[in-house]
Amino acid sequence: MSGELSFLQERLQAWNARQASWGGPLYRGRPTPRNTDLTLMSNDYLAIGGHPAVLDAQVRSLRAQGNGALMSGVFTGDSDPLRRLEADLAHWLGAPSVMLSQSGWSANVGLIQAVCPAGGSVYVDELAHASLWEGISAAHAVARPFAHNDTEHLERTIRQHGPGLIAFDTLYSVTGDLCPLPDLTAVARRTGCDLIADESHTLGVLGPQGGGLVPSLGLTDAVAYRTASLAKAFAGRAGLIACSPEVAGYLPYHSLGAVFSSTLLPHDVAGLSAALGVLRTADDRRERLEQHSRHLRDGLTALGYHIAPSESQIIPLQPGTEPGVRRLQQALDARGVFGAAFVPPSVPVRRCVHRLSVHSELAPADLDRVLDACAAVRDEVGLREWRSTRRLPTRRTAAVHH
Amino acid sequence: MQTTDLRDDHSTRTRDHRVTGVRDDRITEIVCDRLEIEPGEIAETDRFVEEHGADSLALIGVLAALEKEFRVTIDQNEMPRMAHLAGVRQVLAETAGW
Repeated sequence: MSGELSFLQERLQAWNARQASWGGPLYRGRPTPRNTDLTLMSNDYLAIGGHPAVLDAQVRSLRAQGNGALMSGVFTGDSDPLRRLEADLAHWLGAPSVMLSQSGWSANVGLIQAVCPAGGSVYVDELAHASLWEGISAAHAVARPFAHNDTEHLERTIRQHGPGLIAFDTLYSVTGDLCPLPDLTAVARRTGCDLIADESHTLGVLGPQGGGLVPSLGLTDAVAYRTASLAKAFAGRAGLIACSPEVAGYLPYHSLGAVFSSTLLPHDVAGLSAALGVLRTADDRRERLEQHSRHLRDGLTALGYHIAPSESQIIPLQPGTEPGVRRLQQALDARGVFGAAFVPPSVPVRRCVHRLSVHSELAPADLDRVLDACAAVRDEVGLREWRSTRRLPTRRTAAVHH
Repeated sequence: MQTTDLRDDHSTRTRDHRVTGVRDDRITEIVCDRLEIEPGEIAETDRFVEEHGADSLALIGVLAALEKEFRVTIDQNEMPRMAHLAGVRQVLAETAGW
């Protein structure tokens, strides 16, 4: 057997053994949520995926243009609706320019690959999205990780290795905590670094008209690059890079994903344009999202779940181990509450979580149902034995012992 | 006079041992907390990644936490030497000049 085949056989065997250790399916083979169940897996935080304005725009586009020209974005003309959407997004974000890409992944990989020199330093939060790490690798740059949200460690590391890019998420997709943006901009200013802020989970959710964390703190001029997946609150299928006009003009011809992969389809663009219109005026949904999220975080904390450091609509229940996550998922699925299992490589070993993603259109009865389910399963899932529970301050562990 | 010197010397050594012991315990505590390992489960030369399945990135958290606790700056190039508790103690001792 060749080395490559042997490698794959070993990987497949390890994968099968790992799945067997879960005690049942985590992904494929899991029951499908029924209409009466609560699905808290989606990143559609403002629940606009089925909004009539978005659907109508997509249907109209499909009927009028089919799937379009199916070509690289290199050939997209100035009068294409995609260019208009880029201009509208830039205006909304308070950014000089925006370039759209096929996904949040391609935005981060393509940006870093195109703007960072080989051998250059990229200071990256240890929990930053995998696409930022992949971009560093594609650029042949040097990843210099810093401890999560620890700007003192970041600055010490920069002082050792010199200026470069600083890459981070504005809201972390598993832990649910925000980045310390003012401190990050201050470090960047002191050390001569440029910032890449991935706003995937804050775009549409925070800030004036939903423009994200950066504009909400008045820091648009302090962040050189903003990126995002538009498959979250935008409920679409694309990514964006907000940057200077010079870089936006350079990227379509140097970011390899932009050059060698086909651009967005017309109905993607139409749907995103309509979604932008909805998001701009969705303050009521943003307010409900914030209220629902706080209600669930407070309720889960009172039940004895250690959900720190979450401060958002992303709420991690933290069994720690893969079998623990599987047991919790199964217990909650049986009560009609469907969350999302996060195991390596999405999270570090022993930090596996079952993520609940809140959306704005949940009813009070839905929130009660989630809390009732989480209360009912505590003994079944061994909550008091979780390492995350043991880290709780003593007076709060009393709740676990209900 | 001679007796007093010896007594002082003994007292200093005892205090140093206590300080070293407390420091060693704290290092173990920080490492185990970050790597989600029980202190009783790990030996001095157990390799964090290979023997305890630790995520290599988690070692960044270990490094930052040690820097904060002991007010030192550890060169990230030393990370490969910090593959087990004994290595962590050695790098820290060299960096801090203990």
